[in-house]
Amino acid sequence: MFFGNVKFDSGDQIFVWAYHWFLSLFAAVPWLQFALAVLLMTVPVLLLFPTLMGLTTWAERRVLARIQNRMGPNRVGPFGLLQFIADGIKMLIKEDIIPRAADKFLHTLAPILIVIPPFLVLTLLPVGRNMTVVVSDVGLILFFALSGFGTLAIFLAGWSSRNKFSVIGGMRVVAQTISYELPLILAALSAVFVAGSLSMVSIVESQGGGFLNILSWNVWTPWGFAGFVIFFIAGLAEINRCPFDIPEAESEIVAGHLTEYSGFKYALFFVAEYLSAFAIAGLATTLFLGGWNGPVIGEVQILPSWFWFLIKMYALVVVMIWIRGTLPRLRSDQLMSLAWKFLLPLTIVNLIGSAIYTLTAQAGPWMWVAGWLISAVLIGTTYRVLVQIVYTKDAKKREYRYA
Amino acid sequence: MPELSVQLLIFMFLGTVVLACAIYAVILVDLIRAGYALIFSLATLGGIYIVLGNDFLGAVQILLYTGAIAVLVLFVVMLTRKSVDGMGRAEKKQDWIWGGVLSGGLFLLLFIGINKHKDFASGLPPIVPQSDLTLQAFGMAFTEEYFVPLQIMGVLLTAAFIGAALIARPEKKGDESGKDMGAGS
Repeated sequence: MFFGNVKFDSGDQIFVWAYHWFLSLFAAVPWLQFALAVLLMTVPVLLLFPTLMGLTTWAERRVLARIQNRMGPNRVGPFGLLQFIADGIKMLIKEDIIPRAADKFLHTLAPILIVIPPFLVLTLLPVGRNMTVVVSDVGLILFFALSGFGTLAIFLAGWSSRNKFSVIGGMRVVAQTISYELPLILAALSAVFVAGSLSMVSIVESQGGGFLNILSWNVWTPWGFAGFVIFFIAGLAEINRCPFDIPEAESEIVAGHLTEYSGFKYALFFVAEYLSAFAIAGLATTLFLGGWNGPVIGEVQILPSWFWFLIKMYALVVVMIWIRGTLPRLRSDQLMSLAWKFLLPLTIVNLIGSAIYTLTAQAGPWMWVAGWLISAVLIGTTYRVLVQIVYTKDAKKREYRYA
Repeated sequence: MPELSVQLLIFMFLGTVVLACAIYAVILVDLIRAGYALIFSLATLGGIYIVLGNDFLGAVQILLYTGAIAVLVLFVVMLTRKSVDGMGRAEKKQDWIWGGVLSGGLFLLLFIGINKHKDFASGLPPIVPQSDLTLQAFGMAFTEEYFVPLQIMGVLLTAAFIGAALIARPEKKGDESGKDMGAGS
């Protein structure tokens, strides 16, 4: 991954430039250069995202506290910013309890397995121009393939604990992720249609240009907007965040697969959850929000490309926190009917809409306008009809027989 | 003897993991552990494809085996009574003989097939993907040469899906009592 003469350009390529400059010092020793290249690619991923995660736990608690009219953690460091370090130390020195009946090996293996896929997946995201750790032709398929591992690890955690709440939690995770993987992948596919590539870098590059380098983002098209919303909802379910945190619903099954975990193993599940949240937010940014593309005035880029990516990704994470503070948890059957009856038909129509848009966009500006309107009407009508069929027809007063 | 490279080292490591997990899956008594070992073995095979330069096949292997087949395996294991009790599986001498004959025949078949391609035996292909193995080539092959088989497979899978939905459908239509509780209860 050498890009020839990389110029030092307003901070945009500062990391790429530093990377090549540092490696050129070791040109005489190829194996050392190779080892350093690997380290320079992986260590930033291993440092940046866990640090962001620590700060996000603080942000989540503060934002939730403000939403609920409380103060939140504000004692450790300025504004409580160092709270996550205190939490980490607490987690490290806590007693690690393994139930006597549990499968000890698998019980220990599960939290280790669960942190691996989010890290692997984060290396596939194009963080900035020329700043992708793993450049692959099939980056998107690899992303979904690797993130599927997390489900298995959670199920393993639930099974090995020998606790009925854990097993129920594990079963719920599997059912939920299988249901939501379909709309997630189909929504992502609409962006693939338009870019004509499964490579994340190509998808981001296809969204460049346009007015101020903003209006070419996929989210401004009808199919892109619908796809973005569907992708975000399905992504929330995929990473078991509110309002889809049914697998660990406190009010129903104690803590689901987390019930029998304590100490740092418990913390590892949260590390994986937050890193997955970053990965899904990053992928949504890449597919629909233009990735690293940011406003350009004339020839001047206002902020570096990697900064735009991080801003957009973090904005989506904040929206996730906001949703957690706003929406109540779904019931299991509501979750299933949303995925299969509502999101799945809508994504399939959305796919057709994006195909129409792609065909007409190549045929000239008037055809483009026509295609834009046709796909907008198609998707909008489908949404209206689905709401009518799925949610309005059967709406009646509910009687609860179980408290 | 091919030259010792990073690629070869990774290949050897992944190969060892594949074989170890496969053996583990066969000899283990605990069904859940055996299931997980099988899944790891199959997923690591995807890693080998990626090392050999075919990202697409590797990604699809991992996607299919960890996403779909793994869940199927685990659900089947969970629905068998013996896995709950932690009991072993019933083993007969005949099973070993038949298993040995089958796997031995399969191994022989693969051995002969692979040995026919002399260029494969001479060493690992380079890390850069071969020009005839790109994603575009796959797409073209699917829409031109293998178009009819692909469509037939699609029809078959659709039929299987409809059949599965038909079997899973509740018996009575007018039954209201179980409706509100849904799938989760």
